[in-house]
This record gives sequence, C-alpha cells and structure tokens, in this order.
Amino acid sequence: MSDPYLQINNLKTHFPVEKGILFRKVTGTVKAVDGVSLSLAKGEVLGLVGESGCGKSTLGRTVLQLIKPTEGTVTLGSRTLTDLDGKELRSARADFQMIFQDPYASLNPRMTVYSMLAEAIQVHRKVPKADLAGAVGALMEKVGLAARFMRKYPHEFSGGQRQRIAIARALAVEPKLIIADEPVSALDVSIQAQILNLLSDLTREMELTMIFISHDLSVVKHISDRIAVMYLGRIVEIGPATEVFEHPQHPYTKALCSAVPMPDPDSERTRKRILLPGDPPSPLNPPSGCTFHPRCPHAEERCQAAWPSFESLKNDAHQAACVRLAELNQ
Amino acid sequence: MALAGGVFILLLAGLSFIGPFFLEGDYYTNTVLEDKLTAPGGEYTLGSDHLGRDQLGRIIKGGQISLLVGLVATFVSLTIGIGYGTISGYFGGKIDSVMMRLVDILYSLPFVIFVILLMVFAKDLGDSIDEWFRARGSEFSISGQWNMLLLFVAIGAVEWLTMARIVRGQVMSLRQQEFIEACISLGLPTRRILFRHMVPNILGPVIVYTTLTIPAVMLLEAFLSFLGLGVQPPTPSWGLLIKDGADRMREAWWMLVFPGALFAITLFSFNFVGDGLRDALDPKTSKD
Ligand SMILES: Nc1ncnc2c1ncn2[C@@H]1O[C@H](COP(=O)(O)OP(=O)(O)OP(=O)(O)O)[C@@H](O)[C@H]1O
Ligand code: SF4
Ligand SMILES: [Mg+2]
Repeated sequence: MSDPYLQINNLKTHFPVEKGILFRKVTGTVKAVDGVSLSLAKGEVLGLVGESGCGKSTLGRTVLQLIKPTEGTVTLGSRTLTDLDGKELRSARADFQMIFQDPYASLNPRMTVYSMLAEAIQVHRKVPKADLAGAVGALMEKVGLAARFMRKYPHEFSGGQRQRIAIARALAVEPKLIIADEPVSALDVSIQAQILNLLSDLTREMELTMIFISHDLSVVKHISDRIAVMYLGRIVEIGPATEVFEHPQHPYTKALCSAVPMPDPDSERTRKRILLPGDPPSPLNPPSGCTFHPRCPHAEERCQAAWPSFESLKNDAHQAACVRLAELNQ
Repeated sequence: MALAGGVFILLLAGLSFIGPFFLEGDYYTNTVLEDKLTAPGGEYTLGSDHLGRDQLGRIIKGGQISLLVGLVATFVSLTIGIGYGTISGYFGGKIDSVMMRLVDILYSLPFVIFVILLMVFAKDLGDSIDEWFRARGSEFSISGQWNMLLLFVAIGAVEWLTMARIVRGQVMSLRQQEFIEACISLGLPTRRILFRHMVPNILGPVIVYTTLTIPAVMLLEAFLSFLGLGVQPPTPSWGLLIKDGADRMREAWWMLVFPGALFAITLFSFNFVGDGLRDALDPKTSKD
C-alpha cells in the first residue's frame, strides 16, 4: 500500500458506567472500542461491518474527534488529530466530516437548506455574500438536488433527499476524509442504491478517503475497496472487499457472509447459513481471550487464553485474528 | 384566536399607555368623597370606588402597572433563564451539576422572606441614592420608581429559576441530536451552535412557558402589593383593584367585576398569543 493517509493506532474508547447522584462511583467500563488499528491510503474506501452495538459508530466518532479516545492516536496526513484541542481542532475539522445515519435527526429542523449549507461553506472559508447563493446551488446540484429548493426546510424533503442535503453539508467544507455512519440504513431500499451510487461517484470525483459503516455486508461490498469486520470493539478480519466477501476466513465473518442472500437462485438454494447461538455479549463484560469464543462453532480451550494476533494466509493484505485460522481455511 | 388575543393585548396596551395623555394628570387619584361607590353609568363610566375615585382611570393606570411588571419581569427572567439553562444543559457534567445545585438552593429559599428582606434593605438604599443626588444639587429622584424597580428584580430573580430548568432540559435532549453533532463536526464556534442551533429549537416550549409566566408574574405582583410590599397606594395595579373590589363585593360589584374580567381576558389573550406564536415559529405548521 502507498503511504497511509489516515492512520488509526491502537484506538480505545471506554465509557465509564457511573452510579449515584451526589458522589459518582464508577461501577464499570463499556469498552465500546478496544484497540483498533487501521490505515487507509488516500482515496481508499474502507467498509466497516459488524453487528449492532459492536462499536462502529463509536469508532467513527472517535476518529473524527467527536469523542475523546481513552487511548491511542489518529493521524490524518501529517497531523495527529488526537493531540489537537480547541481552536486548532476546530480549524482542522475542515479536513474530515461525518454523514449520519438518521437524516431526520441530522438536519436542524428550523433552518432552510440555504442557511444550513451557507453556514457550512463559511465556517472555514471566506466567501463573498454575493457568491453564496451560487455556491449553495452548485453544492446542491453536485448531490443531485435542484438548486431552486434551497429556500425549503428539511421537513419538506423525503428521506433520500434529506440524506443528500446532509452529504452536501459534509462536502461544503471540502473535506478529504468522510466517515459515513450507516448512511442508507434509514432509507427505503429503492433509494439506498441511489445514495450509494452518489457516494461512490463523489469519492471517485473528489478523491475522498472514506470509511463506510454498515451492519450489512451486501451494502458495503460494492462501494468498498477493503472491508474490515468488527466484533465487540475490535477488528477481527480485514482485507480486499471481494476477497473478504467471497473467501471469508474468520469464523465470525463466515457467519456474517452466510446471512447475505445470493442473487443467483442456484447458489441461493445451496447457501448454508451459519447460525450463531446467542446475542453478542455486552461490551461491559467482554469474554476473555478471543471475545467471539462463546458463540464460535470452532472454539477450543486455547481460544479463551489471549486475544489472537492478526495472521494472513496467502495474501498479506488479508488478515484475520483467529488462533485456528490456518486449520479452518485449508 | 391568537389574532384576537394579540389585538386585545395591543388595544389594552394602547389604552393603558396612550390613554392617560387624554386624561387629567390626577385621573387615578382624584378623590371626591361625596361620590364614593357610585354605580357605573352617568358621570363615572365604570363607577367609582370607596374613596370616590374614577374606576376607569384607576383601571387604566392599574393596567399600565400590571402590564409593565408582567412584561419587564418576564423579560428579565427569560433572558437570565435562557442564557443560564442553555449553558448548563450544553456543557453538562460538572458545570451543569454546580449550576443546577445553585438553582436548587435558590429555589428552596422562601420567596416571601427573600422579597421582604430585599424590600426592607433596598428601600433605604433608594432614599440614600436620592440623598446622594440631592447633596450634589441634583433634582434627580429615584425613590418614586424605586419600588417598581425592586419589584422587577424580585420577581425576575424568582421566575428565572423555572425557566432555566425548562431550558436546560430541552437543551440536554437536543444535545443528543445528530444535527448538533454535525455542527461540532463542521467546526462551528460554540457560541454559534448555542444561539443559532440550540436556542431557536427550544423557543417553542419557552414561548409557551413565557405566556404562562406573564400572568403568573401579574398575580405575584398582586400578591406582593396585597402584603404591602409591591406597588404602593395610591398607585393602583390590577391586583390591588381586585383586592379592593373583593373587600366590597356586596356594595359595589363593579369594583370587582371590571378589573377582574379585564385581568382574566388578558391572561387568556396571552395564552392564545403564545399558542399562535409557537405555531408560527414552527416551520412544520406554517405555510411556506
Ligand atoms: N455515550 C455513551 N456512553 C456509554 N455507552 C455508550 C455510549 N455510546 C455508545 N455506548 C455503548 O457502546 C457500545 C457501542 O455502541 P455503538 O453505537 O458504537 O455501536 P454500533 O456498532 O454503532 O451499533 P449500531 O449498529 O446499533 O449503530 C454499545 O454497547 C453502546 O451501548
Ligand atoms: S480464536 Fe477460537 S473462538 Fe475465536 S474465532 Fe478463532 S476459533 Fe473461534
Ligand atoms: Mg451506530
């Protein structure tokens, strides 16, 4: 891989669980993100998948400095974001933006599209007032909205259109990195593809680096160059998108993949679903060793000892964290 | 309804504040003892009171005082409450704990004692200020308005507490919304997030509460005046007029009915206007 543009190093985000009103006692920690390391090349799209509650959103928010990490560093280009504070951080924010899951909650209901986008354009750039309407219009057209709608309020748009507005707002500051947190999962299936295509085109056009979060592998596979699979705050497998999807190596990824319906009826009929017993354990009290062991169909005694390190089989770019990786993938 | 309420309040304000220009200077203190307790009609349109003062004039002056107290004290409490509540709710954590404990403490102080203390200590202060000016050869005198000023301060100081709590609750729930996170992510300055994004979104409940505060404040003023702590006779306020009227309900119904009805209609009007404003401010219900 060429020089990494975004580098996430052993990132941990733990939330204290507090009890008591007057004297707060910390009674435990939710290890929402627990030691994630990733690097992305410039212009790369990484799909991040995992079950609900595994810490995908928390990872995204921590990378974008919306939550302070407990440990670890995030470096974007030559800047270490985790070291920045106050004004420095605020001006650095022009480089990275988030697109949120719920387009109904992510737009201020009392601002018109124009004032929202104009505000975003002006945060980090000086734009003469006379040029603002033009800039807003251009931005709207870029995401597939007619500029004549700029005086409307969010509630006058459909879910898909709202998500386009949210994308436009993120693009307004001309970012280099975008984290899209399940940007289509709140939308109708018929609209999902449009938004995915839009994001895909935009990343190519603007050379955006993107982390695309989803709990659905099939959504991620077309848009991503690489896929990372997350389980209970950690990455368990990472590799080129088609390879992870077609030849998953980690038992957890295999189970995820087996849940995706096949478009071809023949293979759909022969598709074997691997059903995982139980719910994901709580990040408040994660199991020892490989945190997947209580649900893993191949678990052994030694799986409980220590967190397995990443290994790769044929392709160095494809790694998985499982002690039985080699024997299970012969 | 909102329109009718608004028109009524405007008329009332016009009558109270502009009307006096067409009346004689002593329109509300002009005592004609022979004419006491005259029924409405004839020389006194709305009758006269137990000292033979014109009831209409007293209602006009009383309206002036009541509206002024209601609006100014509410405005004071609104400004402090929104600022305080927004900051407390937005920053949360320790800042919020400290700020809200302070509100709790102030809340638990008995209001009447607080006001009595304020009035007693500050009364002398008003006189000393006058003296200070007089010693320097100035005609300026504050003690005439002093009681009113104190009233604003006392009521404002109490009413903002509830406002701060309401605003804080609203802000805390807004804080969880993704659009606030989006603002932070854009790098907007905190001040802008607070006043451009937070405040407009809490305005709905705040306005509704405000329209409830104005009448509450007017009632409070009546109560304080009743205790002899608020407006000082012979200056009337609606609260005082209603109290005088209630004392003489049997002999002179007009002393109770006219100010009472006016007071009730005013309170309703504020509520209607509040409803209307809330709807008008909500882009979802207003027509585009
Ligand atoms: N502010 C917080 N305080 C305490 N715990 C939190 C906080 N935010 C998230 N968590 C916990 O961290 C874990 C991970 O949450 P997160 O929202 O990152 O999951 P997710 O993978 O995005 O799930 P989903 O697919 O439902 O969005 C959850 O157990 C959640 O309860
Ligand atoms: S380490 Fe053991 S428990 Fe974990 S995935 Fe591999 S086989 Fe399963
Ligand atoms: Mg999430």
